[in-house]
Amino acid sequence: MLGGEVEIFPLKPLNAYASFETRAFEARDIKTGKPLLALTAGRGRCPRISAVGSYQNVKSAHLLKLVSAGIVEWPGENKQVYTFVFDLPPARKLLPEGTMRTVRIGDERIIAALIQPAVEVLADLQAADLVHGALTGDNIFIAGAEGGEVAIIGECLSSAPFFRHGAIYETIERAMAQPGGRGYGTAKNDLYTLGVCVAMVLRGGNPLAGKPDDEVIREKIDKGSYAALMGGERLPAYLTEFLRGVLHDDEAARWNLEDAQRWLEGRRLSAKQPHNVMRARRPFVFRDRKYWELRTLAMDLAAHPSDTLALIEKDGLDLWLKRNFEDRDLELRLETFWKKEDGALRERVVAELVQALDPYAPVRYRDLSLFPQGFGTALADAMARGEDVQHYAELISLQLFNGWINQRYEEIAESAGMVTLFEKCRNFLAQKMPGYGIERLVYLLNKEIVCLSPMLRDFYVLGPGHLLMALERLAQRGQKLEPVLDRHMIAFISVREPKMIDPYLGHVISHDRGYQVIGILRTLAAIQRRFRIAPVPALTRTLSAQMGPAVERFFDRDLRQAIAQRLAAAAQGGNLSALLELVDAPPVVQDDQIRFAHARREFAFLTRERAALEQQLTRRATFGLASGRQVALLIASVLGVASVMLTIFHYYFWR
Amino acid sequence: MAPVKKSQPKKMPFSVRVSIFCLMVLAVIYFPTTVLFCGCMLPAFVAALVDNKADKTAGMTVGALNLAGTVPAWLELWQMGGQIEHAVALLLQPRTLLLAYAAAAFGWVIYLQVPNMVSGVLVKRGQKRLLEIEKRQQELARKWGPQIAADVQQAAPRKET
Repeated sequence: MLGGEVEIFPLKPLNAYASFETRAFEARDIKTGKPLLALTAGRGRCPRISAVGSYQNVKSAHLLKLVSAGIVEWPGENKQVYTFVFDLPPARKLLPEGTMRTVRIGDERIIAALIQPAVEVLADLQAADLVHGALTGDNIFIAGAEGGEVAIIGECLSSAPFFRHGAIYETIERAMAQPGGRGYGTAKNDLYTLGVCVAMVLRGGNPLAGKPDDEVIREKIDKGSYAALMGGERLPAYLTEFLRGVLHDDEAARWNLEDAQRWLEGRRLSAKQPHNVMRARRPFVFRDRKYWELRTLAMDLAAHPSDTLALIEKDGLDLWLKRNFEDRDLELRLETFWKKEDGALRERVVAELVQALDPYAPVRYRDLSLFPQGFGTALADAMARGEDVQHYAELISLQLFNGWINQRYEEIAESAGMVTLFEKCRNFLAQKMPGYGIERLVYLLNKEIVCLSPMLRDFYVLGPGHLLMALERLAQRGQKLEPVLDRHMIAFISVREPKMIDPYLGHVISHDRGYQVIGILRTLAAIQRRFRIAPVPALTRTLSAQMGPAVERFFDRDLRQAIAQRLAAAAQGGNLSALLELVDAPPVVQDDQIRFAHARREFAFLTRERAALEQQLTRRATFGLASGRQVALLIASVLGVASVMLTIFHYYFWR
Repeated sequence: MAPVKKSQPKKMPFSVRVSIFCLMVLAVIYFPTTVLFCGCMLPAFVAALVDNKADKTAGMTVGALNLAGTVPAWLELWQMGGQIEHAVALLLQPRTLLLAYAAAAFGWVIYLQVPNMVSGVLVKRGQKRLLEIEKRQQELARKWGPQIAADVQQAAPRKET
């Protein structure tokens, strides 16, 4: 059940709608009985939860309607899943999976059936400050009978934008990046994808099907995107104009949404000339392959770092570049590279060389290929999959993104902010303590990612409140919670709600178990208060059992005993603040410390007195004799004076 | 080698010197009394001489009671006229000396017995205090843990004033 309105059938999968780690199931509107489609999102794919509201506000007949979304307790698996429920889309896809043939739509129908609906949807999304990012052939559904086809654009919420695109749907530069590392993208990228879909329909299928990604990219570089997709196909002029516009390989010259809308209104725009790529007069040979231009060469240099390093040591590449390319910017970039190359890390040298050769390509370091804007998503994906993220950390430490941004500083709108952000990331990475490090970067760079703690694998934790409830569930299951907050959770809370944990971070990361437990309790109690979370008795009992070291912080053992007895009672209530009050009330702690200081002084004083007494008593034979003589003198004096007085009195008065 | 410093004899304070001078003048003026006291107070002088303790209380203790035993003879001397022959006559009477020396003997008894008795009491009291200290320290250690004794040196005041 989702929100009391939708019933999901986990035993009825709809595999035809499942894709890219997204599982699809039958669902039903409880009130109307209308069949619906439920899609469960993968944790690391950064589903666009914050875009749910905006998406729902887009009232377009050509966009798959979102009925409901939220966290669902998935039966059978005993885990939480974020689920989107949409209207059930039409059965026909523009490009069904496993086939190479698209739905046939004639040239005369393609604008009304596909281009116009898609552009309308993109315009509506842009008005809601969204991009689609999933306008692929298998996510466009075709409604209507033959001759009356109309496209319904599929959902775009179950993963980060452009994450699920194959290389064919992306521009040359973005196709070079790994799927998670492409960044947010713009409506221009959506239009490019639409252009690819239109080209496929016009050609009756995917012209580059079966080719590996790097071959697709190579073909696009060699021929240009339009030519690679359309081949020699002759099209009506108006369609050629549209496709040349949206598939242009020069970002600046590529059509934007306004251009596409103007074209739909019937205005003719100036014809776009193919993007000219700098080509060498003579080819460069690398690994028995001839290269005429820099982009493919840079791609292959990045793919074979050992050979590239061997190449750098010779002069061949430098000479070839100088003789074949008269480009001042390239010369400047290479000059900078040769200056920095000496003594640098081997992988860094390769990354910087390919960056200098192709500054529009993503940063390529070891097995990574990322744009700065896509770093967060790619890192989250890698972490969710349990991959080693060491290379991601190195990429930040080596400041490769800053180098990339600086090469195009004027062209990138938010370049200053990005440089600052990555510098901040580098500082966080340098700090190894919990709450910092690579874990912090994941949450800092992904505002919507769930907490990726291995302990919370079965939960969909979007905020500190969810985290507390998940911990309660874990405690109810009897899972060992030691430590209660791991590195991921600490970083997650610190980024999402700094006030909840940062004042206590020193305690939380302390090696002293007592301080650590107090810090954790302070944090969780603050979360419970801030988010008004209901009592968490199981977690309170678990924490109460771990309070030993915290109680031992008190010097007074009677007090410890009293607190231990009261802890057991407080644990039943589930109120973390009450538990905290017992072990961390400042006046009690302070009073205990003061009384301990007094007791220490008293003990020391008694020790000295005892030593002095024992020493005196060892000389028992003489002990007290001096005092005794004084006493004797006193007695004798008193007696003497008394008897003199009596004598005088007797002599003068009684005689 | 550094020259060895000779210890200088202690210089008597001026007030003491004045008092001794006054006493000597009085002793000359009241010569018969002086003679009587010299005879009767002989045990006190002896006690003062033989006392080898640092506090030198034997002479005073014996002397206090010796004086009490001498006062009746002294009063009688004054009654008789206070002449030197009276003093000698009194000294030659056994009753005078017996009273003075018996009182001195009582003084000796006090001097010899009371310190032992006081010492015994003090030892008992010290032992009791030791037990109290031990009990209190055990109680402190139980309440505050062994940590309380770990840093006795730090916690203890530097110097008792």
